[in-house]
Amino acid sequence: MMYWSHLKKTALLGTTKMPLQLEPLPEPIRKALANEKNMEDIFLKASSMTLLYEKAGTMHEKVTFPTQAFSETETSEYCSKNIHAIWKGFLNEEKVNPYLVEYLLLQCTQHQLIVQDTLIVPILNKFFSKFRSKLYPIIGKKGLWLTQFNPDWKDRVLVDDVWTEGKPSARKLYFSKLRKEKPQEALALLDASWSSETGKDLKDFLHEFFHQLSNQDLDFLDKVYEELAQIKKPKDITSDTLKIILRLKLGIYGCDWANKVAVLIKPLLPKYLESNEKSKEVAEFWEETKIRENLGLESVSPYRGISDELYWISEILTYLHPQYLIDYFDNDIQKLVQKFVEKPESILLNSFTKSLKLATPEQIDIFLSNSDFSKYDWLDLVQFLSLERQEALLMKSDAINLTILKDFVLLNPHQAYSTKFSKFILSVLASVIIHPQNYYTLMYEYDLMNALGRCLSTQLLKQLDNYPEPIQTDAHKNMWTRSVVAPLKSSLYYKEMIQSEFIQKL
Amino acid sequence: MNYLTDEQVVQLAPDASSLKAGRDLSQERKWLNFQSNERVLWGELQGSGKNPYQTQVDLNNTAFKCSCPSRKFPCKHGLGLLFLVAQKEGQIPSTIEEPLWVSDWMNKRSAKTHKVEESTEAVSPETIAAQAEKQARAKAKRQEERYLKVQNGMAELELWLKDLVQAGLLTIPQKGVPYFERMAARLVDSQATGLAGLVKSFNKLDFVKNDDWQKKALEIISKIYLLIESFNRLDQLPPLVQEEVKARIGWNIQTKDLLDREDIDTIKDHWLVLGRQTTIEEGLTMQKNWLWGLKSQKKALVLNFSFGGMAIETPILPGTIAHANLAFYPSHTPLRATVKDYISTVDYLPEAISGSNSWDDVHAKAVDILAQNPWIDTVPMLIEQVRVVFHQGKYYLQDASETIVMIDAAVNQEQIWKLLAVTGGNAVSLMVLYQFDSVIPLGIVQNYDYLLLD
Repeated sequence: MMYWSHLKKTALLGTTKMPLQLEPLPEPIRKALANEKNMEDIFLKASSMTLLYEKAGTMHEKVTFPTQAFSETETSEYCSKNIHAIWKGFLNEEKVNPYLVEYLLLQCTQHQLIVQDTLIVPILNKFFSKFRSKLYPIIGKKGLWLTQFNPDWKDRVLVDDVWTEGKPSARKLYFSKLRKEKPQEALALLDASWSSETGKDLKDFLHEFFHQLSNQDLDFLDKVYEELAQIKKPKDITSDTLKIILRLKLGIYGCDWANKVAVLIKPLLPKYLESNEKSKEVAEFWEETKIRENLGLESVSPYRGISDELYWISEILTYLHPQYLIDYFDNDIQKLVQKFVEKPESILLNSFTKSLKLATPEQIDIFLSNSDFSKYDWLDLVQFLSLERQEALLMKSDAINLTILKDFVLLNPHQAYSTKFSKFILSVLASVIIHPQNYYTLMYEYDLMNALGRCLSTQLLKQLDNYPEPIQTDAHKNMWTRSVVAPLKSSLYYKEMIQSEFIQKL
Repeated sequence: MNYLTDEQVVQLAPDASSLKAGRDLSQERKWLNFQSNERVLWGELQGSGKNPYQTQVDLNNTAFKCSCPSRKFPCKHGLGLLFLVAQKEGQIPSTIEEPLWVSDWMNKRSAKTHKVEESTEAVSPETIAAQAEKQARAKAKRQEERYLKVQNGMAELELWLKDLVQAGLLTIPQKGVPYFERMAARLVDSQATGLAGLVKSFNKLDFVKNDDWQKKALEIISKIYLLIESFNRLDQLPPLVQEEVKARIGWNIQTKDLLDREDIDTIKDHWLVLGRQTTIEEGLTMQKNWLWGLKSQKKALVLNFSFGGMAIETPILPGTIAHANLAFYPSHTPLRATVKDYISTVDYLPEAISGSNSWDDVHAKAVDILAQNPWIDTVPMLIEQVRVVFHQGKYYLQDASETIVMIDAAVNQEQIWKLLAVTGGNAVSLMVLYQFDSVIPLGIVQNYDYLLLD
């Protein structure tokens, strides 16, 4: 490099402007150039020889680094050749089905299998953005060691102790997830720290208690309520928190506050459910009981065409444990549904439906069996039932269209449908294709088809070669092959390979 | 059964779409039947036509035939069949009896080889001598004409180069692509295609990124000048150096001519295929295969070419060990070679191999070669006990004495991470392309195994 810097000036400016000075060059090169007269010849020869001179004289640097090499021994078993081949297949796919990757990931994790070293980097590169730390169990100790050197492969949620040191937004995300997955752990966590939380954070954390609400939350809610209620001049945020606690307590069957409200509400129900004439008593009731104020309900209905009183009662029905209403109808849910469905004010049915997630699976099952899916938000409820019952409910309904099917499949795309239900889904897809307005729709339903590739039974592989009965014309056949058979076959083929591998292993 | 691995099949695909289509056809249920024996693999697959497509693969020479109308080579059916066999690790139905359509093709292939031998036997020695003399005269005349053409081209190039040096490197970015293309075209007309390639490499310089282009430009100028000077003194050089110079200028020896020559080196060995570099320029695909003779310790570079995206038919596949006879192009530092006879592929290293134990040793060996062949840029080397380290934003390979050599910036990051994942940051034996100031890692040598870093 030292001679290059000398040659550089002449090289850049040219021999006319900057003739080459020979003195700084090594002696053997100077000697070789002694007889040259032409400036260009001198430069070209000098440059050619210097290039080789420097190349031959390259001195590589010596540097001492601390040892960071991986020195542990893997304790998990490596994947079999077949599983390795499936992973390679996923890595080679341009548009891989993420639900199947997740399926394979889950199987490997459950069986404590790790991938070969050669797959660690391609897997992290291709799938980390989607699966993040879920990939860690299958990359083994060596893979984990490797992730420390690449910030793109670090899952920040795991790296920090989110709850004690994380930012408010990260803490809320963490708590929300924990409450949905492990409600008792979330309860214990907040029980230990609630007194030191800011008013806003406490309100937000308590709001998460609407998920998985149970009797076990009551003591904690009472404790917080009592403490906050003692504040003489509460800030707005504290008042809001108190209202949230009261709303939460409405959902705990048997607690004093819920009992009290139920008792107050019951005489009011016939006035809404059995008569279109609202008496003066209704208005007085709200005035006297102050329930609206206590629960922090809006003073004016935000919905067009819904009266203030109807809005208030519907809000209370949303929070109130459904058993109170079921008791009111002498445990006859069919009768209850009939009453609600008959009413033109669908807002009441919707409110009751929302509260039903606190009901027992049997009660939910009866409700869903006696009602029409298209008339209310049924998705939140159906997941409380066993898959067998979910399938039965859908197969019983005549009104299953693409929207309902999509909602159902994507709600939980990790199920393993029965062969019977899988065939039923094929018939729904066929009905979508033959509908003139939906002809092209399935071509763009990548997510649905991917999810179905994970959920449907592999028994369908044989059946996919035959057209369903409604598919008759060439156009329909083409569309069927392209938008249903091709994606499903590809996915189900992989699913079959994964299943056969893990069933064999078991 | 002699089957190719998934990675090796990938190397055969002519383009990405064929690769994808081939993978799609690797599912067993898509094939009506498939079978193999020691020499050939065949299968039938229902396409869009009335009759199924008949696909066959000559396993000993990696040659393909398919009845489909595709003009790609190999077609997706050939690739699909090989992928399928790779997935099953060669465990597919086997039979000695071949269907007629398979045995016909295979017999024709072997008949071709015999025909050449027979035709040589049929002609009398006198006739052959007379023909050879006539051919030699014609060849000498052609070569003389060509020499004059090249000489004219070289004279023009020398003037052009001096103009460039007179004006200085700073004028290069303003000259534009056509300036260099024109000179390259004149060199092609003068049949100095090797030099034309060097002149074209000015157009690959990146003037925007940093000032590295200045040193690279001077390197190109120096290499061109060295060739011009060597050509001007060609008759003073030893015969083998003359051959090297002529080859670099653009005197190509046809493979057939090379194999006919008696004065060339041929080495029969187990050749570890260290790696492959493929470049595509103006429709011409050039494949560089780096090989290492396990017994002979010789290094070889097998070049293959194809035009218009056609696949290259070669039994040399990266990561495998080819038992073959290589014929080397004449040179005082023989490296470029061609496959004279391919015998078989071996799955594992038949013997342990050892290399240099320090970068100093690697460098000394490379300098020995450089002293004889000043145009050499890259030398394949085996270095033991090196590990990947990260230093000042760049990746290096560090030897046992803590000397570091930078990994070429052009090496794919995923490849470096893969090297780290496999080695766990521990020292291993590595096959590399040593470039004096940097290296390209090719593969890891572990016991009797070679892991290609692709």
